[in-house]
Amino acid sequence: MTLTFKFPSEVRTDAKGNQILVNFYNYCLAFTGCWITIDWSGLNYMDANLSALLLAMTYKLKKERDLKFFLNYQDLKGPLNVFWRNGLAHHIYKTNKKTIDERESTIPIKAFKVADVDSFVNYIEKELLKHRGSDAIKFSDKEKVKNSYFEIFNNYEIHSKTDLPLIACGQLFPKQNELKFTLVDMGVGFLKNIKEYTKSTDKITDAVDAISWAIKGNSTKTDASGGTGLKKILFYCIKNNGKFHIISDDCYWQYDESISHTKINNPFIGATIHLIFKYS
Amino acid sequence: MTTINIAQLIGTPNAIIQKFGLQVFEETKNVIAKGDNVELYFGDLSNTTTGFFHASIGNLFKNYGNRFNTLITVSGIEKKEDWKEKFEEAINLVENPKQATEIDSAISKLFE
Repeated sequence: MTLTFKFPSEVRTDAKGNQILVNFYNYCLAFTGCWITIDWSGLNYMDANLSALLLAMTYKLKKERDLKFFLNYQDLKGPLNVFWRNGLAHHIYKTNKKTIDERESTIPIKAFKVADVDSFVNYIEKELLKHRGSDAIKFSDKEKVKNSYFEIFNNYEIHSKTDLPLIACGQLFPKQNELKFTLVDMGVGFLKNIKEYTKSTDKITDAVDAISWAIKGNSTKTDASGGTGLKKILFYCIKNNGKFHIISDDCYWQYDESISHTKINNPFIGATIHLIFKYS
Repeated sequence: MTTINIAQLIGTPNAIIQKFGLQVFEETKNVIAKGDNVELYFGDLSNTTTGFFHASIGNLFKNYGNRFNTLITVSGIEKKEDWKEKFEEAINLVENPKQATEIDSAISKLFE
């Protein structure tokens, strides 16, 4: 029997795109110890930063369900060639080759453990901010962008409660002056910690309220004050036409000029954060 | 006066996680408990986060209150524009946890 999950024609960094990837994950969860074809024959476009989420899903499925994945080389042509250049295809095929991006628009996919502080900093400073494609970003903006990612790494270290890695991937769109960057952790997500912490105060019981509570600057930390990291990122997005998406539990929360949220059916674990920065 | 070189203490110039802030908090307390004052030297750091400042400076201010300024001095913090801001924010959050800032006002409007 050949197991195949067919992707639709487009997957973008939004609630619909997230649900498509979650549907792929849930399809695979039904099987163990076999090959599954990721069928991209009908896929015309997918945001390359979403590679972080796709790799997190396949990593977990390989580890826990002993699944193996097949991608047809023929499908990785034209606009989908980006998945060679950012390293996703190398991870799927296990080629162990170093990613080479002659067009220099991708920020390659990479996984980090909590202890990999210097490696994460090096990735953000060298792969992202010294990338030729990001030359147009002003120094002061680069510092703010960099700090935003470090704040998220700190949140991952404190809150995710997992040994599974944090996975990062980005894509620069030079014509649109836009940088899309995604960080995926496979930890406990926002709701579990916040529900426990607020059980005698704010009594948060759903993911929308949990994310809103965190973004307003509240924190479950008990050994220090804080909680200002996420709200600073949101403030920077408000001031600089940025977009900020947080996906955790069954909520796709997004700031895109205004706040909205979408319910996710049968969600993936942990938390996914997309930051989309515009620069002039 | 004992100088604590933060980068040397935490073993990296990247003070971006809370754990490193807690290390600074504990080491500073140990020195003060022995009767000495502390100079915290930031100059060999390259990166910091608010989480690091809350766990180090925020906790020290919470612990020593008004004695903070006589027991602890800081140097090298002028290396980056936003470090002093994060330092002051960590102290303000302990002094006035409910004080609304410009950021809070902007975010509150989004939820109206």
